[in-house]
Amino acid sequence: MDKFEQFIIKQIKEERYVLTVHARKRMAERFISDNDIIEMAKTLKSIKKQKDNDTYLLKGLDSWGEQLHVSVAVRENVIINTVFYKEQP
Amino acid sequence: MKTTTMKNFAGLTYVTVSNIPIKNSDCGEIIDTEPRELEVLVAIALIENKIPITGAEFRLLKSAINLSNESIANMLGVSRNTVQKWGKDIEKRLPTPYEMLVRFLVADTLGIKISSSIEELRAKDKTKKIFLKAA
Repeated sequence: MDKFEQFIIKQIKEERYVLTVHARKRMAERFISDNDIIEMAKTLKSIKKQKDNDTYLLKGLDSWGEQLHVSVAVRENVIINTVFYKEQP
Repeated sequence: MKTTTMKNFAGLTYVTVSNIPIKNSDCGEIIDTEPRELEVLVAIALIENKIPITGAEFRLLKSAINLSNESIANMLGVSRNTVQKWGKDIEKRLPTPYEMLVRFLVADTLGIKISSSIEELRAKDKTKKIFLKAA
């Protein structure tokens, strides 16, 4: 894991991120809370730069033990673009 | 200030939050609040309105008070698995004594004044529409 990736994870763990409106709507559909996103960062299993070279896909466990996927971009903040469970890409 | 309205907040079909500040970015519209801020707002409304607590409400309340499953289990004297089960079953209501304890724990953590009488701690049997303003 490079330093930039470590930075992303640290920001999420320390609750320094923002959500897109899209992400918040997806969270509602799937009963995902801020707690789940932070827990995902704490239990991180992988972080991968996506093909667009602009976003990262993080995978970890939510508060309930389910594998949660979180797509983020980094601007002046870490921006959570969307969230989904393993079976709901 | 640009704002938006969200229906079904946190998957709760009866909760609408309006006046949520947003700003534009090249990733789309961004919610301009701190993490958990909206969840705390909704959690207070759930407690004050004596909303019954199913797994869906429990997930939001737990996030608002920022406690781990283990901490909640220790505080309420149940196993971690029990807490896990409450959150996993979205539609199932918590057993009444634990629903009361969870309401009390959330109220205590968020500084909401509620009566500690047994009758007052009991949630209502039905949800009701909740409309909140974020800003």
